[in-house]
Amino acid sequence: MTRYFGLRLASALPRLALISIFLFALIHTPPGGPADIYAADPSATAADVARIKELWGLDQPVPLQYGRWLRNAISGDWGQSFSERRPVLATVLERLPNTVLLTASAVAISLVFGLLLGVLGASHPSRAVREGVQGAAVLGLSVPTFWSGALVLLIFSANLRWIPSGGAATIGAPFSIGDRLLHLVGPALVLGSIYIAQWTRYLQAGLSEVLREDYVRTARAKGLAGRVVLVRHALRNAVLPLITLLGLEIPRLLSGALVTEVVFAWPGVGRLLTGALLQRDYPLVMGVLMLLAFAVVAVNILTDVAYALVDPRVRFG
Amino acid sequence: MVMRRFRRNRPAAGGAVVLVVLAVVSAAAPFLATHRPDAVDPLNMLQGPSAVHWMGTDDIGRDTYSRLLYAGRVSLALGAGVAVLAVGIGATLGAVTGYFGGRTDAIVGAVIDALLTLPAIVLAMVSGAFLQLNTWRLVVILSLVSWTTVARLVRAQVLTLRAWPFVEEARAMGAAESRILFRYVLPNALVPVYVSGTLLVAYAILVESALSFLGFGVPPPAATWGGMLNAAQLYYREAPWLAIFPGLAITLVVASINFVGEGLREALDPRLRGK
Repeated sequence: MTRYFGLRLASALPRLALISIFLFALIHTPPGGPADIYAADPSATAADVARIKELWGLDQPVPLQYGRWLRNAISGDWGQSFSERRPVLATVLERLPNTVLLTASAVAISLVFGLLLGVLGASHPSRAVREGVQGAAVLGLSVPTFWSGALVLLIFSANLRWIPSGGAATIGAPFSIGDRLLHLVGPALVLGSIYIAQWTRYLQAGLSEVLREDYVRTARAKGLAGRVVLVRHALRNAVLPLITLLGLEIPRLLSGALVTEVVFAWPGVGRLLTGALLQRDYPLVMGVLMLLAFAVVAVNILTDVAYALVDPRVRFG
Repeated sequence: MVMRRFRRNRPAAGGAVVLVVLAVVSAAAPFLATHRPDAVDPLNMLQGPSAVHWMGTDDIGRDTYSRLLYAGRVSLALGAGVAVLAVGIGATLGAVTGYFGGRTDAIVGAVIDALLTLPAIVLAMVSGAFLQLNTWRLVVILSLVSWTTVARLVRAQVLTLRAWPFVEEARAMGAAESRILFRYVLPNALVPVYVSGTLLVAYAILVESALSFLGFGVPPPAATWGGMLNAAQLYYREAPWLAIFPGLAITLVVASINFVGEGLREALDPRLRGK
């Protein structure tokens, strides 16, 4: 087990190295680097710009700049954000809990409703209901979050005034759990809605297949109640692949969170990234992207290990 | 056989019809539009739907209905372009790595892993922010970040197909390896690609509109559905129609494509035959 975990961990390092090289090149090779922002300031003299370039090592070729960034990043120095005027790592870590809260709530909501709808869609005796669930799931996958989010704001915030128009807390008010939840419910439901549709689809397809297996027929023939067969025999096997799928879906879940954060002005990592990109805050962009990459790789390893733990057919090593 | 099963699937056939209608409508945008898409009218800003402006006007008095039609051209062309290019890249790389294996396989595999580590939309956003974008560059960027699924599918197919007797026969008859791969193996490996290629069109349209919504897509004044939704954000209360119609258009197109893809999957899946 430890060996399996170690192997997965070791294979993550080259992957992270490759993605960091790729991102660094993507950001730093196009013309117009960080120093150009300062050069555009009329009060900056040529000497100022040259000093800034030298200070940040921008006068060196991109591979050397990358080496410098990597050395610093490994020792915990992710650079200074231009726009926030403080260390990148602190800025990014401060926003992280909000994004984790949003995505975790969305995953929880989507798993509950996805399981219910998936079981309904696979085992309901009426064909019309099964096809209705399938159609609704495909439809649910087609609605862009920035539109469903806009509609939620339009109806429940602008017209009914049930939920606030954005943010993570009422400005100036003391922290309270109720206030937090009221701000969370809109974005979490919108982000969760795509995944309700996603899990429903996977589970419906998987469960329908499992229900045709011989051992399910055997269990039925033994006289076990339909519900027992469904939950104990079929559902257990149909749910297993969901663990792997959850791991594979994490990048898309994060991109959904990013868009949802912008729609609801939720102060998470996604909003930090869009802001940093619009301001061309190079160190901050690099920091957020690497944090996202770390998160995805970590979740992938965790889901692999979790799958190996629950499925006895997976051998370690 | 496949066609018949596809046509019997009502949501899929309906989706196909909607898509054809939408493609014709956007192609005929200059004839169907009631106004020029970029005609500014300061006297009629933020007007609700009326006989003159069927879907209202935006904050500088442009006609939402006409802009919607022109934006449809961009979205549909872009979606189709990305699907074709991404399938081309993915099928070629998947076929070569699956058939020959070796070092190319290892390198392409590492690149796929790296690309799958970050969401396609984030990669496209970063590219959009640091490079000068136009529609065609966006097609290239979106293709470069979304060929991975196709490559994996084709690679897996080719891996099993290359062990089949017909490959051995072709080789015995003296066919060159590249000819065996592209003439005999690849065409047989493409069946699952029809489905994922179709779904790629929907995916590209969604990512493009999300990018435009976030402000990193095709730059204004070109009309795009995502860009129209972006501009609508300030006027949810005063002018909800600005947010409703472009979103409906995206959902309609993407849902139709997804239903077609689902129908293709069922029609092509031999296990579901006779259901």
